Amino acid sequence: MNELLIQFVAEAGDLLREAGEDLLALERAPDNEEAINRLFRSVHTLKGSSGLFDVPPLTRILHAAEDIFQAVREHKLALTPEMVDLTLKTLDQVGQWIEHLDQTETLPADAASIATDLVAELRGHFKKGPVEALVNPFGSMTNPAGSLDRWFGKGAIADAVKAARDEAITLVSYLPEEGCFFKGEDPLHLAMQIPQLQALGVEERSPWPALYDLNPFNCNVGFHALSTANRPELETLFRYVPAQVTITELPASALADSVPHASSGLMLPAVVEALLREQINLLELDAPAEELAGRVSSAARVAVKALRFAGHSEEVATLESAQADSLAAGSTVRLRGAIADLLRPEVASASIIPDQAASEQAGPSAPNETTERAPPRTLRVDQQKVDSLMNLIGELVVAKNSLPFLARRAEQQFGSRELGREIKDQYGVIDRIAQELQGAVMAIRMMPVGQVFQRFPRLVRDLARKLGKQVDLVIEGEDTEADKNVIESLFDPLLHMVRNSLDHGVESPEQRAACGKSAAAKVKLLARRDGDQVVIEVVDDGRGIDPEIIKRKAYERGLIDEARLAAITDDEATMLVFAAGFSTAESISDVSGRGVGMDVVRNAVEKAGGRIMMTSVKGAGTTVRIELPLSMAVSRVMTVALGKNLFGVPMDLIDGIVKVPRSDVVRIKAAEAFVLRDRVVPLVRLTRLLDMPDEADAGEEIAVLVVRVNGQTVGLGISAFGEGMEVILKPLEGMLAKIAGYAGTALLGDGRVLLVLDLKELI
Amino acid sequence: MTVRRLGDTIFLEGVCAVEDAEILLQYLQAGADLVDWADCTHLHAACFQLLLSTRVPLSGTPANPELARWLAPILHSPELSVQDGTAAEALFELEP
Repeated sequence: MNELLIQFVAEAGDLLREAGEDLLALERAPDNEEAINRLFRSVHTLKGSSGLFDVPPLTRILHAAEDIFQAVREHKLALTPEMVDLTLKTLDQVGQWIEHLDQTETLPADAASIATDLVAELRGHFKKGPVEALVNPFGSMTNPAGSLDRWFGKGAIADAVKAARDEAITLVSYLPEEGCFFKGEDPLHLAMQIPQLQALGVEERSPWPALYDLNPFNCNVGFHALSTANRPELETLFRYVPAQVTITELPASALADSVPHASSGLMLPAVVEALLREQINLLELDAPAEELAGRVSSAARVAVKALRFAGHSEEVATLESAQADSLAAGSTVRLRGAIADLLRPEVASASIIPDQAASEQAGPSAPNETTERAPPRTLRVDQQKVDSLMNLIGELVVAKNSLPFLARRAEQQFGSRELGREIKDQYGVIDRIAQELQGAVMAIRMMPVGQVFQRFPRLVRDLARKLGKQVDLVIEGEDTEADKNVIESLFDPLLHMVRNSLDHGVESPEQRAACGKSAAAKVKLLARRDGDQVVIEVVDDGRGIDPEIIKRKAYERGLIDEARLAAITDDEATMLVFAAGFSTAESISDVSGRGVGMDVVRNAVEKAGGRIMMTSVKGAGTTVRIELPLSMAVSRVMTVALGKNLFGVPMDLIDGIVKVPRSDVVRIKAAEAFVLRDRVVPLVRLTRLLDMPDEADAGEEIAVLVVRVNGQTVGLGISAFGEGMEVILKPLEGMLAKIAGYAGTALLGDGRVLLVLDLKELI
Repeated sequence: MTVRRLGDTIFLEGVCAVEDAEILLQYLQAGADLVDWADCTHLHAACFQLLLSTRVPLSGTPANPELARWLAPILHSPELSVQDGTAAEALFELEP
């Protein structure tokens, strides 16, 4: 695939994600300037980049969305939930197309028609909203005077005020139809024919499209004009298009407000003003009498030229007479005064500066538009590359572990203790480096939990709307990091849990009100690091779980028998929701409640090496807690010997190790048991589980590994304990994948293969 | 010919009517970056809005004093051009 397209697809994913987040943030807080600016920029950048490829439908819908966001940004359009739905839909569509682009380098065949519909929908909102009234100031103009300096230059207004001589000035606002060119009209020509025209300004009907989207025959300009003519004259001129014109008489005072002190001096460009001030300074310097004439002449010459440049030739005569006076009087005072008169008084110029600043702020231009984004300091690396690095390190660890064996051989077989010690020293160095290397690669694979969490605001919003509930989602600890695989295995369980929370846990606003709770429920997604585990919690303040109902349902479904029903505690009952085939929902909705939810969650979590727990207080809410290992790449196992064979048992299952005197083992028919801390624990011989020949009973004691499997404590009879070690677990592949009972293999330092047992399957 | 292109400069001459807008737009899209309107006597709104929206620099003072008086300040005005600051931006932004 084209490098540029690859880059675009990758970047588009990020931008879409950000845009989605910002959109939701904006829905919560409509006046979040930062969010709307960022949103607009994301969509704008996407649109721009999409223009590089042959994907016009994509560009079109992005463009339509961009227009909406721009209008929102300029406060011309209020964002309604329907519009959020629609724009989210647009972003989704963009996402789908980008995926399609990624796979096939083209858009789907129906892209053009989808785009047309979507653009029509988007534009429909754009037109219906209050935007028209505001883009078109001609509709309802509450304070036309306030907009004057937006339409006309200050100089033009000042001139108009002068021309009006304290009489009323008329503001003519003329917004031609978009299709007026086809009727043979020339709005510009008409506007310039306004009698006694004093100032002319333009305003676009809607923001200008990009150069390539411009339709030259679509009239997108409107005109504002100041005229001193009276109303009937103006109405005569616009007699064919009366509906497109508003004529407003403005009192002169309104104009004066918008041009403070404009009449007390000339409106001069800054450079001319500076030049004139310089001449005054020059004239103020003491000069010998014989140089005076030259100095006055040159200052006057510069001032006259500057005035002509600024278009104020009418003042030249005043200056020239002042020059003559100064020369005659032998003093610079007259000329100095004349030039100073031309300049606006200091007060006025001072008051104009803040005025300009204010109008700039009020203007729709984006404040941060030009702020450059810092170049990204991250690399995009194919995950495969990191994985192969990880594998190599795994091999390095194994190769490294063979060094102690070598050292022992050197010592015992070749009788060179010195060489053995040197090898051990070298081993220490390589060991340290290997460990650091492993840590570094693990760190690369670490991703913040936020990567998963960030998909939830949107999901929760959509779900809540669908279910007619009000939900505030709170996310905490999204910076908590864990291995990429762990993070990825997290999404589905979390999705199930959040769905369950919203569907079963959270009540409708009316029910909540009846219980004296706030109408909006609070659902929290929390993540934090706890030792070498990541803890994720989904907390809601909904109706909670009634253990009695759970018990009854579990009994009805045959998940528990009568004896257990009587004995079970409330906490244990709550955990029953994780049993297969359990669903408490009254009816099956398309959100959740198919009875497969929570046991799927449990399986997914356990597959990732984690645990799941649930606590609930009836009427006050439910908390589901998931504990996952930080990293799945390295597993801690304990080696156990069985005859001459060595097996690994995952460390997290092991409760303890005991040596049980052979005499203490109680035989109950075919089964064996022993007493551990006043509890009867079944004893299972590993040899039998693995269909291996029973070993000859040797010694007075049996080595027993106490493990917790599927919530039960079991003693595992073995020959001897080995040691705990960290291994890189490789799943069984190919032909071996079908063999049950093994979680995978690991290479030992001496080159032997360690089979790691999957006790859950075995017992 | 009322709209003529020479190199990167577009010349507007005589009466620029509504039908000239299309060719003017084509020239602008093709990258012309200067418009000489010294010999322009009439500018139709369709052509005018193109000059306005693209903010293409203009050279010369139009032959028609009305055009010069009313349109030159609008088309040259920095104040007004800020308002559509986003429209005429580069098509895509290069990361620094």
